[in-house]
Amino acid sequence: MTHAEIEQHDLVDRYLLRKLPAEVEVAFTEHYLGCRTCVQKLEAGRKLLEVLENAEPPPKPAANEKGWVRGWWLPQPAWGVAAALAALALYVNLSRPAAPGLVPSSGEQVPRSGAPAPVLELRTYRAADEPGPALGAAEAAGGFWLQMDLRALDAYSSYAVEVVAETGPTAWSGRGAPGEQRDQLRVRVDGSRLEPGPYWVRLSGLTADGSPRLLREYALEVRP
Amino acid sequence: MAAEPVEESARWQSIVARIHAEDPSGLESFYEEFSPGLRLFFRHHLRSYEVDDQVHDTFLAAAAAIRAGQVKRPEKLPAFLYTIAHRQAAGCIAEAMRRRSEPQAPPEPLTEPPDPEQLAVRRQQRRLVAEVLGKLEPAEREVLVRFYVQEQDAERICQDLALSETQFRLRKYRAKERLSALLRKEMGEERPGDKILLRKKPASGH
Repeated sequence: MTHAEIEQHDLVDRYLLRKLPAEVEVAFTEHYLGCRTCVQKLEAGRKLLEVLENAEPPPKPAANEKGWVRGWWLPQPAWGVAAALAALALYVNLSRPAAPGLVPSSGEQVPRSGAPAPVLELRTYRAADEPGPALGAAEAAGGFWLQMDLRALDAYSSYAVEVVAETGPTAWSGRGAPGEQRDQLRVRVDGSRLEPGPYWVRLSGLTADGSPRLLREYALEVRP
Repeated sequence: MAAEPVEESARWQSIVARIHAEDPSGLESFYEEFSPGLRLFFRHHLRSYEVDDQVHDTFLAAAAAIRAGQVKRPEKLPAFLYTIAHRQAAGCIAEAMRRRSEPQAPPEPLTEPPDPEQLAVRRQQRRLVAEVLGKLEPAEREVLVRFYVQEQDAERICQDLALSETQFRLRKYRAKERLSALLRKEMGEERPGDKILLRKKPASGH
């Protein structure tokens, strides 16, 4: 792996955000273990990420993501600043889902996303007759969290999650690592491509060579 | 993927040869070369208080394997070390999960809840970061917030903002540079985030 490839594919940031495919993450880790340049970039990136985590904004207004991004930084009246700071203080104590598997070095679960996205706890296995949890397509489009219980499963340092339409195509895929408590996996799903209908959520553990081992399949439904 | 540069391969081979020959300088070089990367690896996967122990155990296991002649390709030393580190991390996670699944298990060490002073500092940090971000160009700020805070994929950001992949990377790079420069200016520090991070109360544990 060369530094040109690392730059070209944005591997440093994607690694820190846990967005690398398993095999690329392995190759990149093998590279940076012995590369001071990359370790320095990763450390700098990690610090920048922590700085940006400190920029946690208040919840965005529904269905206006761009407006939220721009609006939050606009000048506020004095009472607005006070209210915003009070809201930020509340955020510190709120139990919110962390980014996929993110365990900040401080050991605290720091919320990473400004959107109060719904959390769907997956319990219903594919073989069961019961329907899985459901959410509306509009709600899914805004992003949501999937939460899975890992306690009865083989432990892996990272997991792959796929949301697969009943007809076969993969609608979303992502990766995550267990959170602080190690017994749960939470991944944030970009559901903008999920059409209404039934889905399977495939949870796989990723082995050292990056190959997935299917652990469980859950049911999920997206309503119109 | 290109092969490791010759210079690096030679360094790894020298380290392996010296450890195998029980030369103490081999272990020193081994630790010096790989401890920053290993610390980063474990911090990425484990809780902060587990990092030191895991780095130490990884070096012990790797050195033992080298002494036993188990490293057949010294030029691939980082890959060998990764295998051990990955196993260590997986074992640590499995152990934590096993402990948690036991009904009478003692509670795991927890990070202390933030005290009021910490909360005040964090509020101050949030305000400072917001101020600094507010000084960026809107286009740069949007890329940073979308990518790092909202964790949107590059593909989606490019699509929404009508950017090519190269334009996106360039804008993100410039935004990071500008943010770093502004943070340095605001806080009079050498590296972005250092002062903010130093002001955090250290996590409990070892």
